[in-house]
Amino acid sequence: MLVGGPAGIGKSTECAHAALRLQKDRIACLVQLDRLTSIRRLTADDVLQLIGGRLFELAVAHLNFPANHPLAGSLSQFTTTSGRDAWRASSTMVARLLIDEVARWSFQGRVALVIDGLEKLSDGPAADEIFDALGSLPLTVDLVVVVPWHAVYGRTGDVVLRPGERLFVLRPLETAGEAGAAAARFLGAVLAHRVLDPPAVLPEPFQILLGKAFKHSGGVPRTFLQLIADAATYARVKRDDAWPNDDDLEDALQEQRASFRRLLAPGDTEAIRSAIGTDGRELDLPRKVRLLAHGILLEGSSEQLFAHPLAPVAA
Amino acid sequence: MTSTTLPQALLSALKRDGQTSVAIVLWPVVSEIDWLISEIEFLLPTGVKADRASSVDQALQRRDQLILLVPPLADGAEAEVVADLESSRDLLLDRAQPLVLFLQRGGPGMAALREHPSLASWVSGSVVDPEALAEVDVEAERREFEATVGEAPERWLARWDAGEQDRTSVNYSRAYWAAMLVSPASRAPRSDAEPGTTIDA
Repeated sequence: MLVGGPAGIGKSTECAHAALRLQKDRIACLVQLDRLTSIRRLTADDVLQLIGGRLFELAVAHLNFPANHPLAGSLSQFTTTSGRDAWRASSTMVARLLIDEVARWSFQGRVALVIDGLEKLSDGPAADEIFDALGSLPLTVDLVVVVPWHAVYGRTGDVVLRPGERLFVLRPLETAGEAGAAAARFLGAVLAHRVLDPPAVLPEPFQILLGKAFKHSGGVPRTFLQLIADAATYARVKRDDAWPNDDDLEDALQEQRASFRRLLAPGDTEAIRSAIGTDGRELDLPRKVRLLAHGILLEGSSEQLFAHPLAPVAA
Repeated sequence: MTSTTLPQALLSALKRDGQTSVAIVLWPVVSEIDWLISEIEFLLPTGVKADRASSVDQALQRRDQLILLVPPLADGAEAEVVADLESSRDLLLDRAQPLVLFLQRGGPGMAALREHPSLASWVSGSVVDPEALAEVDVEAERREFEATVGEAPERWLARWDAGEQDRTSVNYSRAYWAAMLVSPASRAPRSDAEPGTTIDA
């Protein structure tokens, strides 16, 4: 399964959640590549080595897998210059062998790799090599992989990893109607869990503020959380108050609008206006990928595009 | 609603995500970089050291210090740092102090941010633009100051300069706000001010 979506939509959260739920009938190994290394310098060998290392750690920690397993030597060789060359020659083979060993060792009998962070890969040969390497892993391993924006929004029908793959694109939450109210309640509960100790119900005036912030967020969870965090810091810094009010939220909204405005390139405004309500097929591809990746243009449930409420593109 | 002052905007950007905050400060001319750095240093709590770095690798090696990341003034340097920060963004989650990236206002680093959605999303709302903040309607601001604080900016600032106001983060912001509205010539000499506003306060 390939996973995509605009920045801040919750891809990493969904991956962590998926790894947890897959654990029941698979050894699910979450590999957050962007927390381990710089994605910019990543090679196909690095990816296989990081996956192998993470899977090995997981198996030793949770499956009583022998730490002195013969494959441990192959993994640790990577840290030396000569070992790195050896690994290059055999990275795919070692990764395959390890996956088979761990699957056989576990009671679930199957391995799933949930690989996060690859959305930041630039289009080019390095990205192709990485996806070729992942695609060459045995078919017995299930893959959930976050893929780059160019592979999601610039999709040409080519296989990214393997034939039969499915692309799952995360979309913004509904902000209107019953679904919108439910989403706002859920995010409010997330916030209460984060900021209140012990977690409790948020005071009512603040709940109204949350509702306003949610509508402005366009249904993008990170934008919502940033608006509330910004409003809360302005409340402290400007008024020495623990709880934000409408003025603080307005300050936060202005900051976000300014950030969206700075991301617009010449020609974007007209392009966005003409794309609203369509599926975006008339947009030139680099612009389409960029606007959708930033969440300046968002995909609605009917695949029609709409502009983020904070993007300054009103006619 | 009051306009936002530079210290308020800086504090908001530095505090929003706690120790993992990443803020961008836009400098309009090279000669203002050092002044902007001093403004940030003035806001730091006692014991927190700000350290200048010119590359993301340097920044990642110093997790316990607040990093002022100033790309070299060379062709392609800003775009390079932005690309590095994008691809290392989640490594910053291990940091114990915020990171502040200095980019030229309207320069190549900001243009590069358009090509890096992950970093752009992370810093959205935490980009401090001193030039934009300096565009104030003085009369409206004076009215707003008096309505919020309860006295004229000259009078409030005189008490601040005399050391009669507590050195809290709110008062530092108000001092900056008042100073924008008061003619420098009419201002009394300042008493020794102690840095004390903390980004953790």
